[in-house]
Amino acid sequence: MDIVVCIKRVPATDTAIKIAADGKSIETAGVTFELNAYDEFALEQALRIKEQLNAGSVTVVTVGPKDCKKQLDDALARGADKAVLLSTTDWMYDGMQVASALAAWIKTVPCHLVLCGRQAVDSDNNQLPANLAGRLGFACVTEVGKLTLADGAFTAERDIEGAREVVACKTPAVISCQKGLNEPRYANLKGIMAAKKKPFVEQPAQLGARGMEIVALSLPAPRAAGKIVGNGAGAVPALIAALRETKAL
Amino acid sequence: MARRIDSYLKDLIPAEKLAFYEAVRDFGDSEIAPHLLHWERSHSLVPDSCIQAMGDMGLFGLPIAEAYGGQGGDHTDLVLMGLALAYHSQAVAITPGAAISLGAKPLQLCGTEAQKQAHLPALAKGERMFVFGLSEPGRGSDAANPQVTAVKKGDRWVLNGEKCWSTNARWASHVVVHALTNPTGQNGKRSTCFIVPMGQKGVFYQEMQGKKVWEQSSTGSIMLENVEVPHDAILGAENDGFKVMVTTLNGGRLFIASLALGSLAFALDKCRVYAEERLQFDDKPIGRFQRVQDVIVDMDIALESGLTWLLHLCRLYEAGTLSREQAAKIKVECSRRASDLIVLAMEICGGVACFDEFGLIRHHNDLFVTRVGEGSNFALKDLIVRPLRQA
Repeated sequence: MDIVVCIKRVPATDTAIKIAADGKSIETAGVTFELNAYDEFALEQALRIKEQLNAGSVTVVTVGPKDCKKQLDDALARGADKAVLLSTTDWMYDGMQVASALAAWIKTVPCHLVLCGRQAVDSDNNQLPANLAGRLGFACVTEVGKLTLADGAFTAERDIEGAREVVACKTPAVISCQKGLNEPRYANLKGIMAAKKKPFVEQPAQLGARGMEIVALSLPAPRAAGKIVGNGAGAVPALIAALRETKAL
Repeated sequence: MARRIDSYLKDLIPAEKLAFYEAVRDFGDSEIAPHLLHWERSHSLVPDSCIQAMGDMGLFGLPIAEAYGGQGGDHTDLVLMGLALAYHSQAVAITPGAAISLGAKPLQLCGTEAQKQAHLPALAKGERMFVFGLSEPGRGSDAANPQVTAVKKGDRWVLNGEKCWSTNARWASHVVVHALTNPTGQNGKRSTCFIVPMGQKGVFYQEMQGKKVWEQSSTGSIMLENVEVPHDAILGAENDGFKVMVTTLNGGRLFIASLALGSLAFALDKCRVYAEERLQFDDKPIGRFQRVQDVIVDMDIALESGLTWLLHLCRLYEAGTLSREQAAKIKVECSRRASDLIVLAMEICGGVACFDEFGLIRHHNDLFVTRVGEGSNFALKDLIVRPLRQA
């Protein structure tokens, strides 16, 4: 089974975000980027499927600037067979454009299954999996927390409001991965050294037209200072009153 | 928060080595740091699950050749692992560290092909662990003259005595026993190393209780009572055990230096962040005081210079040109600088530095080991001074 894993580099989750001078994007100077956490589940699942079948290939692909090579190399070190960078100099925020670029490339390669994270933790657009599946004409199962493969068909489990849904799915398919699906492995030294010899392809992304535009970006309002209503048991009535005032009680 | 140590390593090592360091660093952040307090407060050793995870990541087979199932790395990789893991815990770092530098390394350097084939693949996976039986209740710095004896009996050897301070004894499959075999031989030609299975009749292990440093690391006492081993259990040559020991410890001292620098890197980040967050006198950060800056700058200089020096010596080690004095000097300097500076770092942070969850007290305690472990600094200075006394 040939599997494509879509990954994205995102600012490290402990980054203190600053708004860039254009008021529409973030300041990237000094920001450390890392592999989107949900994409790690997707990559790990792809590697496990390949190991289970003892056949097929795992290709990681991303749309972004040249600096994304670091995250692609990391994926190769963990066990992916090939990496593809669909390069762009634009700051990518539009799920439709990214889906367009990925679909255009995926149509040119053998692919039975596309795995991706449920969403990117920076833009939180949550658009890519469904948009990509629509463009490819693939089945789509989102936010999968358990995935098993038997007799050529997948059984996917996903949490929905108040229930656990079990879905049967045949390939070709796009599956987006939720936390809890697996425990991603770490790259080891042998994998890092082997990664240097694996195919790495870079080509321009065919982005297509934008579907949306960010017109403004602002930081959340600073959290208001806390209030000490008193000390000891005597302060309990005042604390209850304060909680009622804020409708916490 | 970006670690200061990362910014230095970026300039000092190639991209693939940096990628390996970052992978181990991320492993430490996710798999060790969140659990450390629990392990400490429950007085538990490194859990088996953590050892298994480090084994899965290939850490136990780091410098073992791929032909023997290892990762095919070099001493720089080992030291990078030490730096990355010791940032959180020296006790965790020393577990694969000692398994490699004191366990697998003597086998790699001095073992026969049959011994390597028999043990290295399992050692590389962390399924088997060798410990180095060097120190004894009555022998520390004078390790060249062990009190543990091995006497030839036909085609076998009979070992008797006690080893102590054996790191990783809890998980050991074998102990490499440094024993007296030729009491009347010239100094340095009196001892032999033997590979002894821990399950062998007459081998008894006991965890040393009450240790307040490297608390999650296993430190064992190993008794040998009429333990019989065949002649091919000898590691290296007969009566050449001192050479095995010295060759092993040279590389081990570089690793100990990496532990000291890992702790120093943690202390630097903790202290510099605290100094900017702690507001005193007109609600301004204490980082504006020059006496505070002085300590932070000294830590920063010690870290950058230590890293540069250590990575240079790793290259010499790989080239086979590292001298005993060089290995001794960096161990002495990194351990004493880091342990001196962390006291000042704690003084800057004040009372909060006394609490385990703040982390500095752990590194403070563990840094003591780097001063006395793998050759005490006082004893190593005897070694360092030798070429200085030659005309």
